[in-house]
Amino acid sequence: MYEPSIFEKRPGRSTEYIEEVETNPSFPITLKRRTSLDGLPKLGESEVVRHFINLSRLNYCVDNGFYPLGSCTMKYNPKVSEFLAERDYFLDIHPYMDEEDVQGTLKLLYELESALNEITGMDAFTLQPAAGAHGELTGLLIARSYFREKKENRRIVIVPDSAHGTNPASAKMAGFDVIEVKSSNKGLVSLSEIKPFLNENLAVIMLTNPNTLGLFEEDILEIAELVHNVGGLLYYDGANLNSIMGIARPGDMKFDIIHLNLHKTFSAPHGGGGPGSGPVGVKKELVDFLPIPRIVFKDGRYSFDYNHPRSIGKVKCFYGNFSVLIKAYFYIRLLGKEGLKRVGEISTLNANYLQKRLGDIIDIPYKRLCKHEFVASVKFLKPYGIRALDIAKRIIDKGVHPPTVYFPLIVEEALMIEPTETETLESLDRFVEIIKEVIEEGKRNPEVLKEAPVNAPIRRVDEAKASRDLRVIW
Amino acid sequence: MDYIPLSEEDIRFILGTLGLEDIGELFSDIPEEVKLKRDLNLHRGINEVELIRTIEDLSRLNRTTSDYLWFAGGGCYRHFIPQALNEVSHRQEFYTSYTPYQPELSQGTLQSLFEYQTMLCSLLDMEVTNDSMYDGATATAEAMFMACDINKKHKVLVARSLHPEYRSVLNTYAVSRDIVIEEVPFNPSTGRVDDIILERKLDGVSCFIFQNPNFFGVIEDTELLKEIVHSKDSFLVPVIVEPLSLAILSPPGEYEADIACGELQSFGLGMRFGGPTAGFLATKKIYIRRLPGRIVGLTNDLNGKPAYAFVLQTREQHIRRASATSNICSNEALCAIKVAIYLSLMGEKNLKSLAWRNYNLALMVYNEFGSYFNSPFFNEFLVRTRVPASEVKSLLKKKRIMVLDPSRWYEELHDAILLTFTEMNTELEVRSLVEELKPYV
Repeated sequence: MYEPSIFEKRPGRSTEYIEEVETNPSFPITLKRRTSLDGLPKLGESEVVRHFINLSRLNYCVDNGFYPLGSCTMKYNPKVSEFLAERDYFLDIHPYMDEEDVQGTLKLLYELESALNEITGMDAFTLQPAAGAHGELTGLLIARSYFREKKENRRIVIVPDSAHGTNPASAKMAGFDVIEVKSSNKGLVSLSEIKPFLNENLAVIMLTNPNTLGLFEEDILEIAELVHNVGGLLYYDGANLNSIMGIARPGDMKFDIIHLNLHKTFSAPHGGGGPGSGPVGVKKELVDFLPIPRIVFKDGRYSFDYNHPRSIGKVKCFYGNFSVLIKAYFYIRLLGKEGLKRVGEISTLNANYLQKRLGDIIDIPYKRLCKHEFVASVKFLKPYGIRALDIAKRIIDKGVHPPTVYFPLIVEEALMIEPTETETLESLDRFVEIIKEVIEEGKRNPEVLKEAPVNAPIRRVDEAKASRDLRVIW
Repeated sequence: MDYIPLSEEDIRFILGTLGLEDIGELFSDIPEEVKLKRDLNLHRGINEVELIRTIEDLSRLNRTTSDYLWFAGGGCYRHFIPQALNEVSHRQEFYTSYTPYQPELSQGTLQSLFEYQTMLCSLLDMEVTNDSMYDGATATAEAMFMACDINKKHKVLVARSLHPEYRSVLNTYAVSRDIVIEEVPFNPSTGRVDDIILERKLDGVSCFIFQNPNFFGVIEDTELLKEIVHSKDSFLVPVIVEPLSLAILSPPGEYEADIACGELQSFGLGMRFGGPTAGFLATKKIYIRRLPGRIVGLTNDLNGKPAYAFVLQTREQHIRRASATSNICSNEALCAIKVAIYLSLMGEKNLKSLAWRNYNLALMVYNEFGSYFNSPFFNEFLVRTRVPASEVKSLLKKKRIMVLDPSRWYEELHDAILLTFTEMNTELEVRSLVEELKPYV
């Protein structure tokens, strides 16, 4: 399958969506565009539609099949949410409409904040951040303002070596110094590693719980106490919340600041990389630092409250990725308290089932009860010249999306596998068979894996050349 | 209702395989003290019919822009969206896929983004761009970081006529890197950047950030700004909030912008109470390694066939961690693809017609009342009022006409209203506006 570039197509005539309007000579000539817009396609609607439909067919997606990308929570995205999010009453509302005209919208957002508080055990949320990493930055700027107000010059943010790359990057962006600490041999935060940093320079420890190995940080309360004893704050990366929803709450684990990924846990689709949404929740003592405006409910009326002098300010224009936020709200309403807990249980069940079945054929370095995901290693295939990437590419040939590879960094030749709760037993079993087949093929004839994929729309892509030759426009 | 396809039998089978009796045993690694020993205090689940009914009920508390003759903009514009765009961009293959880390299964997203990059560079007359930022405001903040990183200066000048919410976001972001932001006022009679003050403040400045057309709709003298800013070796950073203007207005590349950023909401993304939209960030090729976020390049596969893949990932957080150019991971990819589809459908001809139409509509009102500032505009401008703007706004609202009151953000502009014209306004609507405005102007 191949779709030529839109710029290779023979120019024809654009469909006329608006009657042609002549150039108006009253527009100042010195301010007028001189450069041609000839580079834009000149194609009729039918050709443009065909082009992008053909392109879409080159993608693999959740609605095609199993997509066990670790730490990405590629669950099914309910269609009723897509339908409702595109209704006129949610589309045709302008951010500067008067509050009295958007009471329904504000009510929905207010209720979403309350639901997120209850699900996570936090005291208040902002819905403004547009993605997980944006939430991290927001949370860390809140921490920064909090310490600044206390006149404490705390510089250090600690992240485990198993952390998502966004954690250290956000900490740096928020102006902190980052220290990465080694995980213990159990794959958990090592108390002895963090102890040297428990002093008046410590600002924040950022944790993901369950962590990126899919393991629950059992010492969480002890860690929280140690951090709080020296006046630091504990930050929760919510990327992996899915498997503990309704079962344990970050707030009860004594986290002070958390962000959620509504496009993971709460079923809003990923959109090929976005838009996402990364609401941030905090405990009482940090509420005043949340971005403005806050949504308040008073005297039977919802409104925006800008009067928060201690706020870090705004992190985005307007109020957040509204269309994504409402999909999370729909999801929470559909599933309700019992459904959300079921998500936690079944996503954990599925991950443990896959771990158990794959444990017989592949190496799992931290093999114990896991949560939403687990990490396998194909280091044992090195003698055959096979790497995790080759396994991934051959999995493509078998008709499913490969797991995350080479992450977390602490596992050599890692395959990070997260099945989610929306898969059938058949689909999990098929995945086990696929891994079995691929490993056997690899041992028998490594070339088959090196040559893979052969059943995808294209063969293996030369990614190194892409960066070397650097052709970034047609 | 939920979306779990396992039967009770499946669940018992899996538990059996794991040697467990009860599903609760899967959580034995969680300390008892942190376990939630009660149900979440939320509603019980509902089904689709109930959800739709609930939401329809709630929607009755809302008005939409269609309930008004709508002349409000201010960074979010009511534009026409071709149905073809809605249909195509709602393909599951686009919206239910992940970031294209496996290029062999993601050529659709990657090629679309590459085409987006090409079309955007053509529109902006810039050399390189990434695959989107969260929105115009955060794109501007990242442009500020980029400029400071490249020329190693920490003072930034920002035009007061830049969108107030963008300025607010800049202030939030600047704190973290100890960047000092100073404001450059606008000339009270032209509404343009006060170039004398700009020149005076420019020493040791990393970049000058200004909006064009600015928040009041005024088109800046970009040639003059270029000369002033470049003469002091500072970066010129225009922010384009209404990109449709570029169909007829000189684009950033023509006045040698070092970094250009802004908002793409106008290109088929809808209003959606302000999001999701997409921000853009473009620059010169020599600075490509300083760009945050994802960039797609053209390469080939094993058979030599053209193929697309992310490039220069060593700039990004998943490789470089604390030393990345930015922390951005998820961006607004689907919105960028929508922009590519929009620009493909529109082509040069429709874009120009839209731009001229909107300019002409604005001109109809200008010819009647003149404008508050004595400067050229595109589709948005201020009209001076005899009564306080807040009153005019309320009085017009009673007549189902919506305009913006700029004094909400600029105290000094208490006697002006901000009007915006798009192709969604008919000439008849504009004539009604003129009639209703007359008593107050």
